[in-house]
Amino acid sequence: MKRILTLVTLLLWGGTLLYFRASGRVVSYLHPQFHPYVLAAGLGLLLLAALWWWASRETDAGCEACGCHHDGEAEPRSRLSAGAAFAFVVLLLPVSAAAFISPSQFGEAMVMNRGIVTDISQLPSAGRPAGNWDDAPAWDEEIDEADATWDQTQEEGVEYFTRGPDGSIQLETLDLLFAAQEPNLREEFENQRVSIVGQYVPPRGGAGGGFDLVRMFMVCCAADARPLGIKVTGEPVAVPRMGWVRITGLARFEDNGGVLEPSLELEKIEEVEAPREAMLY
Amino acid sequence: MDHWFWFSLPDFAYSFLSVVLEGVPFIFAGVVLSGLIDVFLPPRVLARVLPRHPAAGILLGGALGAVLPMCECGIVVVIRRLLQKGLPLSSAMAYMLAAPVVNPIVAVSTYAAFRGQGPLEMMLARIGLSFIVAVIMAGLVHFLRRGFVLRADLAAASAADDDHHDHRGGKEKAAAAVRAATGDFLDVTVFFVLGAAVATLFNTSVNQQLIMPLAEDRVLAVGSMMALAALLSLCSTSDAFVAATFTAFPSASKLAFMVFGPVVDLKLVFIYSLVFRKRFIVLLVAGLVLLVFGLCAFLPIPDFRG
Repeated sequence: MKRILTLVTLLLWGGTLLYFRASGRVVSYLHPQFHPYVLAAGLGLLLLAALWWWASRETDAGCEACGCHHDGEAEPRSRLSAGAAFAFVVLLLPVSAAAFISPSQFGEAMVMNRGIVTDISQLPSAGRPAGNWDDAPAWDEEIDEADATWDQTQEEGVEYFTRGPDGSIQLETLDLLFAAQEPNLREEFENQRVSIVGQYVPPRGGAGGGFDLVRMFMVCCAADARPLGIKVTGEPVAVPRMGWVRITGLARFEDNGGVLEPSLELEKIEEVEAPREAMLY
Repeated sequence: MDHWFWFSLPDFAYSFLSVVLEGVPFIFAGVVLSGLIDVFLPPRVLARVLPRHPAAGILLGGALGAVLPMCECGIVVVIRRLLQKGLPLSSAMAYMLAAPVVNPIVAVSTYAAFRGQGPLEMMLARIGLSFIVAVIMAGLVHFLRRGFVLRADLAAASAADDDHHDHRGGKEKAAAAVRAATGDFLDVTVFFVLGAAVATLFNTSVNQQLIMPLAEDRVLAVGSMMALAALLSLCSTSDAFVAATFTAFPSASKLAFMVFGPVVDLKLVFIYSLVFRKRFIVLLVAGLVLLVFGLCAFLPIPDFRG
C-alpha cells in the first residue's frame, strides 16, 4: 500500500508540474525565469517515480545478511501507519484541490489586502518598461494624424508604442506609472488618448467617484505580486468586480500629497478577455 | 483601510499553488543531493576533511553557502543527511542558517532589488549580518547536547551510522539512493505543504497596509518587518524585491526582513520539525528573534540611498 501511495504521490506532483508548464498556466504563477525549473522538476519527479518502482523491489541482500538498517530511506514494505496516512493526505489533497479551485488570477480581497500601488517609486523592483521612450511617437504630430488603418503589427516589439484602431496609444499600467515620474514624459502624455487593459476595482466610497484599473505586477511568484493601479474618473459603470476591461481615456497627472500620480478621464470602457499573461513582470 | 482580515478561498488557492510551484523544484534539487550524499559519501569523511577546532568548523559552515548554495526549503534535508554523515552539529547549524543568504544568487538579487537604495551597502550588510547571526547561533548550539537539539531518531541514526561499514554494491547503492531521495521528498514536502498553507493564509488574508504607520519608529519598524517576513515566508532569492518596496521604512528594518525571513518563517518552522526537537525549535526561533532584532534595532545602521 505504502509503495503504491508513494508512486501515486510522485506521479501526481510530477504530473502537476508538467501540466502547469505544458498548459501555459504557469505564466500566471511564476516569473518566466522559474519556468525551466518547473519543467525540470516535473520530469525529474516522473523519473524518480519510475526509479522508485524499481528501487522498491530491490532488496539489499548484504543488509539482510548483516541485519543493518539505513535510516531515512522510504520503506516500501512497511505498514501504513496513521501518521503516514495523514502525510499522504497532506501530499495528495491540497495541491489537487488548489489546482481545481485556483482561478489563476487574484480577486478583490488580495488587491485590498496588498494595497494598490499608484506611485512607481513604491515599487523599485519594477524595471523601466521596454521600448525606446525618447523616440516614442506618441507625441509625434505626423503619427498623431494616424487613422483606423494604423498597422499595429508593424511597430510591435520595436521601439514604438502601438496604437489602437481609434489612434489611442496602447499602454500598460506600468508605462503610465513610470511616465508620472519623468517630467518630459509626463508632458508628452498629458491629455493624450491612451488605452489600457486591466481589472476593474469598484469605487471604495470616495467622494470623488471613479474607480481603479489594476494590473498585478509579479517579481518571482504570484505570492509576491502587487497591484498597480490607475485611477479612472468619470461616470459610474456597470462592470463585474475584478472583470477584465479596456479603458480608453485622456491621461492626466495629479499631485497627490507631493506625489504625482497618473489618472485617466474615462471616454470608453469595454469588457475584454483576460490576457494570456495576466501578470506584468 | 477598513479591515484587517479578508479571506478568499480562490486567492488562497492561487497564492498557495504559486508558492508550491516555486518551491518544489528547489526541494527536488535538495533531495537529489541528499540521496547522493546518503549513499555515496562515506561516513567519517566529513570529520576527516573539516577543521578540528569548533570555531573554524563554524566559520567554514557559515561560508559554505558561497560554494554550495541552497535555499531554505531545500537545505534542511541536506543538513539532515550531512548530520547523519558526521557533520558536527555546530557546523551544520552555521551552514543551515547562513547558506540561504550567504550565497552568490542572493547577493545578486539583493543588489538588483535595491537599485537606487544603496544596493552595494544593502547587499554587503545583509550578507554580513546573516553570517554573524549564523555564527553566533551555531556557537551557542555547540554547547548543547545533540540529544537536546536533534530529533531522537536522527540523533540515534547519527551514532549508528558512525559505526556502520557500508557493504553494498553499485546497484544496491543506486536503489538505496532512490529510496533515500524519495523518503526525503515525502518528508520535507509534507512540512512544506503545511507551512506554505499557513503562510499563504496570512499572506493573502491580512491587510498588509496596517504596518505602514510603524515606519517612522525604528524599533517598531524592525519588529513589524520581522513579523511580516515570518508571515509572508518568501524565498530568500526573491524576498529582497519585496523588502525594497517598503521605501518608507528605514534600511535597518529592511535588513531585519531579509536576515530574519530566510531563517524563521511559518513554513520553515514546520520544515525544521524534520530535524530538530520541538523545544529546540522554540529556543532557536526565540534566539533568532532576539539576535536579529537586537542587531537591526540598535546597531548604528544608516539609511542607505543612491
